[in-house]
Amino acid sequence: MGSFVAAAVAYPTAIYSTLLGVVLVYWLLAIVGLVDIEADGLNVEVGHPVDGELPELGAAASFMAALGLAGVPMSLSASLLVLFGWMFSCLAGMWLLPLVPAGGLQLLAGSGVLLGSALLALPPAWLSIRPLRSLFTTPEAARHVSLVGTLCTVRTLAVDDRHGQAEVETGGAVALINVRAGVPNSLTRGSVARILHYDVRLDRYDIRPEIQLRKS
Amino acid sequence: MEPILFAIGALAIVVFGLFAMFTKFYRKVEQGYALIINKTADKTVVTFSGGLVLPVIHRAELMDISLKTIEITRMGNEGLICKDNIRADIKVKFFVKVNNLEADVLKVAQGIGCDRASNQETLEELFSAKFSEALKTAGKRLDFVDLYEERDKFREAIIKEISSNNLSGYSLEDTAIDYIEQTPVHKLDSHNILDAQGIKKITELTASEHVRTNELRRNEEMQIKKKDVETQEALLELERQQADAQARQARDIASVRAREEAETLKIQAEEKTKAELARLQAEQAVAVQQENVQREKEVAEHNRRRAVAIEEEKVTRARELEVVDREKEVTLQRIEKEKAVEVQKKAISDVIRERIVVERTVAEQEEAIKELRVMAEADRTKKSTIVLAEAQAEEKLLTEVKAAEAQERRARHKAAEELTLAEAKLKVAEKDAEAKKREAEGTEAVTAAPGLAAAKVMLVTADAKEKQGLVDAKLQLAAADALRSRIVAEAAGNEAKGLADAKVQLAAADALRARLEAEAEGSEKKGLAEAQVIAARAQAEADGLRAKLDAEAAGKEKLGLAEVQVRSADAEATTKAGLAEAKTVEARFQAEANGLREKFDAMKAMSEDTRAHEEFRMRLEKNHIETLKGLEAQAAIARDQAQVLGTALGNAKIDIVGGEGDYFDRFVNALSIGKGIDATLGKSQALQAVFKDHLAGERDIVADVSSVVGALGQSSDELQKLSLAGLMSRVMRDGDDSQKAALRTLINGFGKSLPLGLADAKAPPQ
Repeated sequence: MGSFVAAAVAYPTAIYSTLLGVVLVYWLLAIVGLVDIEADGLNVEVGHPVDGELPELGAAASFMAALGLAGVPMSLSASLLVLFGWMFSCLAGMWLLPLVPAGGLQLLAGSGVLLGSALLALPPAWLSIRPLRSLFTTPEAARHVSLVGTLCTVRTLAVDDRHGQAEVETGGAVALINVRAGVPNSLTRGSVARILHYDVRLDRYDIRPEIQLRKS
Repeated sequence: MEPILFAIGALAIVVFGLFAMFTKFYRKVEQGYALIINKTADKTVVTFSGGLVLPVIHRAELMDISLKTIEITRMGNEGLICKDNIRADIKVKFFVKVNNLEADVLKVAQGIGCDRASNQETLEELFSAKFSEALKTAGKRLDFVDLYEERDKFREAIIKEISSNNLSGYSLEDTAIDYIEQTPVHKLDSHNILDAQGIKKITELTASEHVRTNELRRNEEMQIKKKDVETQEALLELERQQADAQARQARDIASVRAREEAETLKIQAEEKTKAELARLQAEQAVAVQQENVQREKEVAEHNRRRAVAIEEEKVTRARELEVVDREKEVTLQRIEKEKAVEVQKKAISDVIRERIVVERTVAEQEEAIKELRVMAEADRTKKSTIVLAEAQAEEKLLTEVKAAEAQERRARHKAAEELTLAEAKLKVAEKDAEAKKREAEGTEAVTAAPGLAAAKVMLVTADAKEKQGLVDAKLQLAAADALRSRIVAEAAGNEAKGLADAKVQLAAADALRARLEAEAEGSEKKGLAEAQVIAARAQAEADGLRAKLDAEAAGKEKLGLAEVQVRSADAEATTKAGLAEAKTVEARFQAEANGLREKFDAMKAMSEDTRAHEEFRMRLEKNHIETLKGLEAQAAIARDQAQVLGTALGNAKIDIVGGEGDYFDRFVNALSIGKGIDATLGKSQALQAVFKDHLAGERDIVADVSSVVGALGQSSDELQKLSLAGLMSRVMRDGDDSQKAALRTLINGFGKSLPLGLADAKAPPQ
């Protein structure tokens, strides 16, 4: 026990121990619930978890994403890394560093251990994060572009090259969209048409009557 | 190893913290809302289900994306102007919503803001103007009437107008015309161009419409009225038909009922008739049968009666024959008996005569005894009187005088009494004598009867025998008459017989009375003689006594006493004389009573005859009164007859037998008897029936009676004559021609067999 404590407070483990302390305090506070503050109470600088395409990725976030630690909040992935890093650093400090003679050599060995333990912490952290990722995915709303190619039902009596309305299904709910079609056409209320293109500027969809395949 | 363990503990803490954080910071979203999570500056997530919102790091917003309604109302002078400038009051509801597309949600969130987008009023503020504009535009494209008829077009127009505009993320789901009407004209502004045009059009339209409407309404009223009238007519018609039908029904019912009743009555009457006929026929049959039965019964009855009558007749004939035989026998026997009785009576008379002789001796002896007693009495009296007189003469002079006076009076009274008694007795004796006379007459009649009765019986028997043939011939017709006539004949016979008996008895009684009178006279004379002797003696004694007393009185010089003596002697003498007279009368009546007693004893011997005689005597008395009345009536007739007879007898030589008075009495008697017979014949129908043939002259009465007449003696001949004379005179006086003719034939028939007197009388005077 004594060697453990000595190892924990000794260089290089002491760095991890400090981080670990911070992490533990953070989580204990989360458990107690004192962290549930909507306001900008604590501006702790942590790495932002990368979530999908971002126009400008931060270094940490990109680093995390690269390490495959994305998909979960940053606090969780950082906490796991710190935890596993402290464990490897502490073990090395207990078992390897006493083997190294004190002095400069020890400092050098300690720096190596610091880096090594950080590297060694990545795989278990990734392994731990993988099952938790699904918990943190959010179902998002459909986009305009995603509707192209789907079928829609005309609601107006007629559809010309400027005006028209149609209904389209977006996973349960029905969305009303403004459509247009080349005249002359046979579109009338209740006709089924296929969306061909989305005009972002006019917020219009080009549709075309669906050709019914005749079964011969 | 400690670091590992420590790491595991730390990991546990991390895991717990992670779960706590997850449960705490994961936000779920209700349906109809959108969650917008601003993660980083360049990252916004829109989710409709939910997401982890970390504090401090994330920012979340909720937005209401459900369907919203915005109502646009245009009324009155703000009404919607149509293509034909008519205003319309309209209410339209617009349904708007946010599409569940990220771009739309974010557009709304950025353009309007989540809070405002969820607020209805904000939305109305935002969109009412746009919607009104679109509404106006769409309304101006359609006529007012088309608003109704083409709502789809109207809606499309509105949608087209709105979708051409940008609704800043909202999309128009639908529009609904809630209310659309033409704005009332009074709300329109006539100075407005559009309104003026509208009014004009409305007026045009509505005027024609009003006209048409009025026309239609009037037509309607007219039709309604017409229909009402028609209905009323139809109803009345139906009612009339109903009443008609009911009346007809009632009439039919009544007629049917009446017909049925008539039929019923007819049938009843027929049945009744049949029943009555049947009943009558039955009754007729019954009556006929009853009559038949009655007839049969009566025939049988008559047959029975005929048989019975025949039998009875036979029996009667036999009985009467027997009776006749018996009576013949009886009569013969009775004659024998009477002969014997007369013999015995003669013997009895002899005995009586002897007894009377004995009694006379006895009476003489008694008289001697009495004389002796009187003498002795007189002596004793004389002596006692002398003694008493001597003894008491002086003492009782006054007393004697008084007593003598009293005695004188008493003696006078006693004499009077005795006299009265004697007179009474004398009257009784006279009455008895009369009775005896009557009885003697009856006895005389009785004595005369048997011959007459026999004659009558024989006459009736002969009649019956001669009538037998006639009775047999006319049995059914005159059985009863014959029977009655026979009975009457019997009665007459009996009567005649009774009469005869009575006459016989009268005759006997006369004889007896004569005898008794003779005896009584004898005894009376004897009694009188004795009484006279006694009286003489007494007188002598009295004279002697008086003389003696006179002498003594004179001798004693007691004139008063002498007078008294004399008076008392006189009284005694008178008393004695009265007594003697009484004795005389008593003796006479005693004799008569004895005679009577003997007579009655004799009569008691033939008691039946006596009773019959008594009854007959009563009848006779009754008839006697009638006969007397008849006799008074016949007095004149008798006078005429006497004249007739006088003339007839003056011309006739009548051989009168017996004394003049005797013959006249007999003649009158016969006349009266003939009258009685004639009256009987006139009154009695039976006798008329019997003698009908004789009266009619068919039968010869002389021939019928000749046998009887032959049997009768002279008296019956006279009787016949006399009765015939009466009959003849009556017939000649008040008979009709046929009877007179019959009488003449009868009188002609008399010429053959009449005895001398009448034949001469019949002959015309020379």
